[in-house]
Amino acid sequence: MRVLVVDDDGITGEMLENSLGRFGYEVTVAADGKEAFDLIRSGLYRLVVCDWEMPEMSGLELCRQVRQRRWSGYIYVIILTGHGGVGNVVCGLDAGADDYLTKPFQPDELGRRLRVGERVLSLEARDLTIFALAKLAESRDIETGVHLERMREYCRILAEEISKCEEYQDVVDGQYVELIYLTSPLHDIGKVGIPDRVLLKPGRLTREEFEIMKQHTVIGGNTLNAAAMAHPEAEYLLMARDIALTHHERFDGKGYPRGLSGEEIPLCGRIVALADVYDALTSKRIYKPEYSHEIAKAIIMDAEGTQFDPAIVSAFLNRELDFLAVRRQFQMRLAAVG
Amino acid sequence: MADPVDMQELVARCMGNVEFAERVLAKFRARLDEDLLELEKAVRAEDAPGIARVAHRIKGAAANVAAHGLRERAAGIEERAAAQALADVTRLIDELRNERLRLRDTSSLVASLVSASSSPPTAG
Repeated sequence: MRVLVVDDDGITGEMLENSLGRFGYEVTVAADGKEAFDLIRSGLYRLVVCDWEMPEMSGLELCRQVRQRRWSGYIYVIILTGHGGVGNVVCGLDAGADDYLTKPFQPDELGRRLRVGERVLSLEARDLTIFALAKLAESRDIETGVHLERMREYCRILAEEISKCEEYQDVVDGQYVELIYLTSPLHDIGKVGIPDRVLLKPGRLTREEFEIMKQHTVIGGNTLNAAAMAHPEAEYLLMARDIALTHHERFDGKGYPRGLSGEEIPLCGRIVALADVYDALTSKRIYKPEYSHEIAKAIIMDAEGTQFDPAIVSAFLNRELDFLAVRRQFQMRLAAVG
Repeated sequence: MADPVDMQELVARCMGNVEFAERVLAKFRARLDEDLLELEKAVRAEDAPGIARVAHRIKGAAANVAAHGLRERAAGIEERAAAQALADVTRLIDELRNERLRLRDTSSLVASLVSASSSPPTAG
């Protein structure tokens, strides 16, 4: 991986190049913030080790300028400076640095700090990859638009609300909320395995075709399960698998593919089930018009305890204004795009 | 009196490459001579921000090459210049020059390090 070292002291630059090169990094040295900024604009550098005091543009000014712009990916910046003390550290982090080290640098420590930076960058790459994968699967469907974007917002709202319930306090925390936001767009990923004649059929599906369509839950679940087994440390894959497999289960056991009921259905599946249906109801589809929030709410309330978990319906009712706000926000965004 | 450069620390920072450490030291000496001239010029002009800037640069480079005596004196000059208290700075610059003289020949330090690393371990 490339690292951009920014230091006006050529000797320090050379020593950093030597150390980081031994750790396997491809190092480029810039002599000041301005030169570094131009190099960062090339898009080649996402890890930066930067001095504070430099001519032309200081390290802090570089941090500020980097944070003010939108980049294709996050830029991770470590300040490496002779300015010690808590006040200076706070100042550096306030300017937008991710980490702060004082000179003289210790190669082992700096190497490990850069690994932390790599981990942060890989998380961003993971999130983007997951969403891109979900969008790719969705692109085969007739109903595209911003369904996934809206749905993950609804899921986040429901999970946040559920976290307040005493019953779920130990299960649903901030990490859970972020995971469901991350993985819920994968709920229909199994549709990539459904033949076009079924997936894209404009009219009503026959019984046999519907049986084929139902298989998208199993295809998605099995695919994500294989990935989860290969990477057991990746917790998000387990949640993604559960969501793909169970988001069409019903609370009364009449759903598919396995007819699970009540709490046999993982919580994430129960949350996504409601979010998915709410978005389908309030969106225009080939076979139905766009229903108002009030109609959708009435349908959901009517299905409380049968299709939906009463606890999730209750969370929906507590946060319906937030659902409306999300819907409006995306309507405005679509109107602005034209 | 402590060695002007902690060679073990410097070589460790150079990932065990003694030749590279020697090259770095040679460059540091040359750069320090330029910085000392610039520092004295700034003192003559009573340019406190300029003194602080050069002293800070010397401090950072000295820290990286493990020249601790130099680093401490440069840090003292930087602090005084930042506080606009220049009365004591000339004395510290003299001390800095003395430290520089001690850096004239570090080949004995390098040689001792090389022989220490290549000699067989002692019994017991």
